[in-house]
Amino acid sequence: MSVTLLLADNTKLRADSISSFLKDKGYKVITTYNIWDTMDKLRGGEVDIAIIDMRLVNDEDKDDYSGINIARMFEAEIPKIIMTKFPDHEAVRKALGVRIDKLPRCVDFLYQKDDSSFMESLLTTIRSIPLKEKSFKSINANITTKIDQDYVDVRSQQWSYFIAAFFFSVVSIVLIFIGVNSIMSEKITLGILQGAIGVLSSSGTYLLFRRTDIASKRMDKYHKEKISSEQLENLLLASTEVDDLRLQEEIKKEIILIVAEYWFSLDNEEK
Amino acid sequence: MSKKVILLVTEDILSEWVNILSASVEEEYIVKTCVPQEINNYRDPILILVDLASIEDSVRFIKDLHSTAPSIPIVAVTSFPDWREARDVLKAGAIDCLIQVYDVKQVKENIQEQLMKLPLNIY
Repeated sequence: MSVTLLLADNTKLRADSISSFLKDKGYKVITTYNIWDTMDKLRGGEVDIAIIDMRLVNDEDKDDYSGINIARMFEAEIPKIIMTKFPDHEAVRKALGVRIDKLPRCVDFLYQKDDSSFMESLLTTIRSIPLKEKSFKSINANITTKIDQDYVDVRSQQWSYFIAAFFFSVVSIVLIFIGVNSIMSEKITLGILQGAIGVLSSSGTYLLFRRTDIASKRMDKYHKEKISSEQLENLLLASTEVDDLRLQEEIKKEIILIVAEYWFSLDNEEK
Repeated sequence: MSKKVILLVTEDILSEWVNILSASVEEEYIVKTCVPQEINNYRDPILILVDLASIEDSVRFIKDLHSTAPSIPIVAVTSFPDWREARDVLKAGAIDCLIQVYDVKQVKENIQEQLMKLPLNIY
């Protein structure tokens, strides 16, 4: 799965140079050069990680924290890295500290030195960010698509079995009726033969109705599986509201363990 | 009703800043001080302040403290602001990194601001 990065820097030359470095490393990079485009892209839902210049309006303005302000406006689900050529204590507090407004913190704060060490630090930070949320969503989407497909297959099987069972039941009733009629008309051998075929058809009807019943149970099972995987996804999404990334990871692990244990217990009950 | 405890982790328990801190919050809270090795003797403070000058590996200390008691907010305090150190302690789990000022009113405002962040999102 390709990771999509948003790179926001008002200095085009610098932005393009970083962007080209990251593209070489295999990332998909969206580059923006101003506040408005950056906000649009962050809203778009396509971005996995955002790398934002602290002074996104004016490099000369020491009070320009626009990059940090934008970063903190958006949900914690998108990890944000702040980069700047002008690092100071206050800027770090603004980016990484917990604030009264409880807006999500950025995940890192990097000094944009002119040498290659910045690029290496940036790469190390990007690689250290867990993207489990996104990959889980994509895995879960694959699972639910498969469950949907299985559900459709089983439903068509169930429908075929039902039609066949219905046909056989009508045939068997008609044959038994004709057989009884033949016996009453003193065509005993023919009547017995027709009746026997009718009874045999009834057995086929029973077997086909059994298959229909099994298919219905499988449909119920797929339905429950789909609901369970959606519930797990919702629980994991809810855990992203926790501000602290480490604690978030612990909560996610706990959720997965509890849900897995529950699923296994259901399987055992079925057995 | 007993006052809630603000715990200051510092080697320098006789420093002027300890008195200023105590004076700034004395109406509502009690400030207790402890050296880093004794941190486990104090249960459930409402806030832990960590004096960065007192601890050799402040990042490790805060990381361990945060993982032991994630619900207790940790605020780093320093007389010598350094953005790299601030970044590292904030990433380790501190909710803020304050510069030690020697003005009771200012300290009171700073501590009140930290307490207004409670409860943390983890609740």
